[in-house]
Amino acid sequence: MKLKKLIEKADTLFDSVESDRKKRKKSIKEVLKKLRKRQKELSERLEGAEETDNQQKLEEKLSLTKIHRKKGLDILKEMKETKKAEKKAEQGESSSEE
Amino acid sequence: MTHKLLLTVIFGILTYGFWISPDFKEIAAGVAIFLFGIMSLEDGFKVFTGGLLEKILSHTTDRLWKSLSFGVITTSLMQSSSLVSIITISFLSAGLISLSAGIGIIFGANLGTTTGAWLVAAFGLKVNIASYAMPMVVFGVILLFQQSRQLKGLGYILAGLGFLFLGIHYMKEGFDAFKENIDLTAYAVSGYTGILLFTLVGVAATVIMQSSHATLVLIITALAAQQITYENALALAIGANLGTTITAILGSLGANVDGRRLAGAHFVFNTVTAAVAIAFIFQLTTFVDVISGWLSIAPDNYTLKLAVFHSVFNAIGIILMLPFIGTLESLLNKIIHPKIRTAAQPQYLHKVSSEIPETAIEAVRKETLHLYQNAYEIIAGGLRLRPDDIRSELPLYEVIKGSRRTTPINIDTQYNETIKTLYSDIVEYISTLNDLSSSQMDELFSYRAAGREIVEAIKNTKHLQKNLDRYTSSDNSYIRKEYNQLRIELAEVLRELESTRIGADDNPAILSLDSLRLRMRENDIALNHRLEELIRAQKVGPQQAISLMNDSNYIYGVTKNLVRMSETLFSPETDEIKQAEKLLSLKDEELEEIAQNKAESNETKNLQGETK
Repeated sequence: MKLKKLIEKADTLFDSVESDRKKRKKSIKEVLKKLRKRQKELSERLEGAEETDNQQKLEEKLSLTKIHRKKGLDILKEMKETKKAEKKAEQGESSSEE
Repeated sequence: MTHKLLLTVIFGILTYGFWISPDFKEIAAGVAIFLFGIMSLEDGFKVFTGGLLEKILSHTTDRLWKSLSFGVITTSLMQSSSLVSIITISFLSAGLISLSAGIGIIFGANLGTTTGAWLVAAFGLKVNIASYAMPMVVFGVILLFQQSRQLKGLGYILAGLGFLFLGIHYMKEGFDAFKENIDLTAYAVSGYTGILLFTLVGVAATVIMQSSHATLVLIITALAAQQITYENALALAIGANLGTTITAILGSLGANVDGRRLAGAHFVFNTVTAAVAIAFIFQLTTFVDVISGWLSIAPDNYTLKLAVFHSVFNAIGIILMLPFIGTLESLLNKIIHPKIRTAAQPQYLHKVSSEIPETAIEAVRKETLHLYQNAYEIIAGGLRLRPDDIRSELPLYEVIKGSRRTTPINIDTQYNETIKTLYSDIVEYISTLNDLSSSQMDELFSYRAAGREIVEAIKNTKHLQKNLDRYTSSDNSYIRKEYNQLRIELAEVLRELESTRIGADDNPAILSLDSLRLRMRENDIALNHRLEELIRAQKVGPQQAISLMNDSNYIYGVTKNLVRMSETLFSPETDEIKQAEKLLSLKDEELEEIAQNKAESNETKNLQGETK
């Protein structure tokens, strides 16, 4: 492991905000993985469904799963952007100090 | 009474012993300090047994070799087979591990405990361990005053180790001084009589001290001071092994059927091992000599040879018993039966599972799920439906059609007989739990709140029942149809909840419930539309319309209660995953928007259909 990566890892350990963010990110990713699996499963069931009532219910579940996934991906994107912005701000601060 | 009498006798004997021999006093104090050390060590390890141990345990249940290794390693590290037994029984009682995995752990623990003899014989007797003990006790006690739970736990472990070492030191000193005055080897008995007699002494000593470890240290220190013969020491070690099962059996008394079966397996293992060791004691001694030779242990180093013997005979026990684990399991299943329980009696709230916070919390979760199962039957009965029909794959309108002859249930009686007693047992059990972290307390409170939601759901069903019975047999086919629709909606909720509960391991349970929340809103909007039309066309009277609105609210209430309860109870995931799911879950406003959009699009479709 390069020194820079090692320092970053140590930083994360001592920075509770950062470690909380990492934990949240990991959990969201895990939920997204389950959602992806559920979406696939629901699509397969929908293909095999014969009753209209059942089809409607499956369609509704499928569209909700898609909304959940989108919401999750949006949150991850937002987290990434916030981190980027924070990093930029930090770099700006340190260069102005120099 | 017997217990008090026994205590008085022990006190009397000890007092007499202290009076006649100061050396005996030193040995006994050594044992007492050692036992205190073990207790402190156990308290310390309990702090750390939380999440980590649970994670490790969940990975050690699939293969026998993993359970065995878990038993060996944890017992070697914690130096207490009793603690490992208690943890295993707790996990088993809470349904976290299987019986065969539990048996594997217990077998491994028997081998792991022999490392204690090695440590004392190889290290404890050669080094001046008292000099290590003092700083450990000092640092440990300082840590005990700290606020942090982890530091306190570390303090208990450090102080425990310190007291353990100090105890060994006093026992060693006591025996060294003792041999100058009295020669205990004069009481040695040779041959099989001696072996049987000293085995019994070993059993008694272990039962009294409740620790085979303490007995073993006492044997090793006595052997080092040449106060007992090697042969008698071997018999005492066998007795200590046998005696430790009594501790396990006592510990299992508060456990459920699996806990008692595990204690049974422990008893069978130790009895078979002891019987084999006694029967082949002389052959085993020769075998130990050979192994000691391989390990370059001097022929007169009896303490280390005792450690070798202890390991060898437990290893032989494992080799002998391993092929019969399946047979042993089915035998125990046949002999030890579960107590017949009514629906109102708790299934998971056992005294043993309350000893470890994680198992206690899991027991509360499972018991609240049991409460929900009982509530499920009552709510289904309130709808005049059979629970099995709801769980089946039959279309719900057919289930409703076929339910005309179902007799109504008395919700009040059912509530008092099952729900109320079980819920109060859960609340009482929660109140007995101590030493919990704030997040663990939060989790317990959330389960208690889930129980409250279940109770509320039943109360809402009760309000619903009167009109449901009245209007489903009404002459007005419109109102009859509407009430049957309400029954279908609630039955659908129950069916959906069951599928969420069953699939909770693979699906995001909290998010799966969003579809129920959405349907709840859609049904409400649809009912309002239908009701408006029915009133306008004078198909239902104003009184009937008000009843229908009220009862629809009760259905809405039951669904809301059950969804809230399921959000807490169904997901077996960690708190972090649950939080992530809640983050992605749709807010009420978002669901409202989806429901309204859908209603509007349905209306447009209907209008288009009418114009065509």
